[in-house]
Amino acid sequence: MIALRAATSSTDTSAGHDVPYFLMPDLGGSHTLRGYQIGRFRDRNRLLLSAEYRWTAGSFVDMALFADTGKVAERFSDLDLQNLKTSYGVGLTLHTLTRTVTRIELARTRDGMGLSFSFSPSF
Amino acid sequence: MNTTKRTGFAVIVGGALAVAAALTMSASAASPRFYEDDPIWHERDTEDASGLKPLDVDLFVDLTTNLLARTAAADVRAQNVNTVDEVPDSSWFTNRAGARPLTPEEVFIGPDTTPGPEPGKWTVTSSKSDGVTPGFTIKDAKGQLWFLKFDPPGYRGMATGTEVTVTKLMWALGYHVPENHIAYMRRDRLVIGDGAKFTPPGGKRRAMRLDDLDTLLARADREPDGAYRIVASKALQGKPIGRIRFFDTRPDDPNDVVPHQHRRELRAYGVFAAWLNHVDAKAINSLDTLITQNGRSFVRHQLLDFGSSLGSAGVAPADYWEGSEYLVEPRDIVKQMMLFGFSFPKWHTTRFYEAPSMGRLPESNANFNPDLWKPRVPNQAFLHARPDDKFWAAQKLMTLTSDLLRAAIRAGDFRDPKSEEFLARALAERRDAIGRAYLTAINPIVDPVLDDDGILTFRNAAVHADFATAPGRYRAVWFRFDNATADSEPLGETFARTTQLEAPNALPRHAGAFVKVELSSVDGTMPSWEKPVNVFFRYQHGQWHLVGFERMAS
Repeated sequence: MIALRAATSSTDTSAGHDVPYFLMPDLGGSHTLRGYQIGRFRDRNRLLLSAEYRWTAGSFVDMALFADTGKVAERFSDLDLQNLKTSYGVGLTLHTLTRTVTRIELARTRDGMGLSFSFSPSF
Repeated sequence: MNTTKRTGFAVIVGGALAVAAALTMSASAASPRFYEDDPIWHERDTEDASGLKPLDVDLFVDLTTNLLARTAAADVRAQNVNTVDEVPDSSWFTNRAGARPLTPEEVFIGPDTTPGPEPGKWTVTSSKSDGVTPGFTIKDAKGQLWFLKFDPPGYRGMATGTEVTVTKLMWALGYHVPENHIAYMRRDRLVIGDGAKFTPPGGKRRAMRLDDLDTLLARADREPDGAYRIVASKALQGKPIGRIRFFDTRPDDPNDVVPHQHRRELRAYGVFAAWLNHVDAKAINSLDTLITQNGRSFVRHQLLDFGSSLGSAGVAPADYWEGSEYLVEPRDIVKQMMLFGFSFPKWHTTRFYEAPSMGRLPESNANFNPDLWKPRVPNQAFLHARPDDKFWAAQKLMTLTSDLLRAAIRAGDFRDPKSEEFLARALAERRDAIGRAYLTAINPIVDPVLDDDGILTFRNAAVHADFATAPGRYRAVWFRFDNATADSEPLGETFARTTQLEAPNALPRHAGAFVKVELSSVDGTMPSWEKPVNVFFRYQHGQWHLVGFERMAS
């Protein structure tokens, strides 16, 4: 199975105000740019593209090859396909019939290898 | 001084042991191979089991143990067979199919002793809210206790019809099973009894309310007229005290002396489970009850909950892989991981018959291979089954004619003639595939009879069922058998092209005489048939009586 995701996020404030730092869209972590640490990239706008090839290895085991790419920018118009941050890797998900028990992913990024753990599906 | 004393003590102990050993050997040598009452056809529970306390099998522990600790099965002969290689009637099993002719009417009725729950108000005494299927325990107007189960929405007849059909067939095969009835009920028939409890999902156990019934019934299929189709399962006789473990014995039951993996009927249960695609054959789907009769208590062992059989998985149609794989297959998982999912098991390309009324089952079962069939979780008794256990099971199965299969399906009341026809064909095809696999695998000689004229007649079960061609000849090697010492003295060898052989002239004919005959095939295409079965006869009251039979001697 091939799963694709394209997402953008944008924030806005009235004049003279700013978005609190920790409420800004971010990239990094097991649900966005895997392999990078959580919130590694953060700004007022965000673009995220993901592709996964998922396959079933057993009744309770799924596997995935994935690639994530994206960027954050101060202005929405800067969300183009230039200078994207990219990661790719492999993931293993243990699950029951109805819920994800554990998702483990190993990803390669420009910063090196990153291992992430999660207890919910990637997307 | 000290050394001398010790030496003297050692001599005394050694001498005592030597005498004890000699006495034991002498006692052993004096024990006859066959007793007056052999073969035994009823295994009595002689010890009082009234002291037993409930001892449940933890589902998680049972599941994990069986999935992860798959012990290699030792080649051990079943330990609860009588001297003629059969299973006596017991608190585990009652000989039916193969022991006597069954009629379609008998199979249709099966274990039933009542027509079902009494009409009138049904008082709910408890509910099952933890699982994915709803269930109630009710008391009918006569005060009889029943467990009610439903079909999942959109699958009218699938779980309930399967439960009843398989119950009838397992009864015919000899197992102790509950009486299960198809019935219909309306919501307003249910009233909540005093003390009925309900545990909402994620909540605390509390007194049951009327709206809890609606919550539970929302997960059940409904008839066009608003009624609910149910399977009503009558509470089993006795006090529930636990489940059947399929390995070892129950430690506190004084009558439970044969490790369960070495009980033939439990090993054979694997063959029947394969036939019925009963993938959920595990401890949780059994019940031990303590029964007291004439002041003495014993445990009766029952199999139940057959909703995950044939094409049904209880809450949905059987998944495509069910029957082909265990829930966890470490090797296959690694293989699939490495091959990016491009390893395709056979079930990926199998064509399935699918219908809401019966679920999903392979469309063609003519080439069904029972040795490749797997329940969801490995079962130790199934894994310990030897060819002689499987032969025994296959023989029983072959006596279930198509008429008997149709009677069981009719009892399931699927109300879908096409699916009922499919099920009858599938069960017949799977039965024959099992017969073809197991009746031909070892020497298939059965039912030997030695008459007064010294003519030995028998049947070849594989040839009789048309699964193999007759061998060129049969060979009988005759021995005078000393029942006290188990020594054999050759009497001669005879051959025949048919299933009738003459005994040698030296055949003894005095009361209490024993003969042993090694019966095998020669000049055939089946090498395994050349290994003889051992047959023992005793001359008594002017006739030869079969007292011993070994298909695969220890």
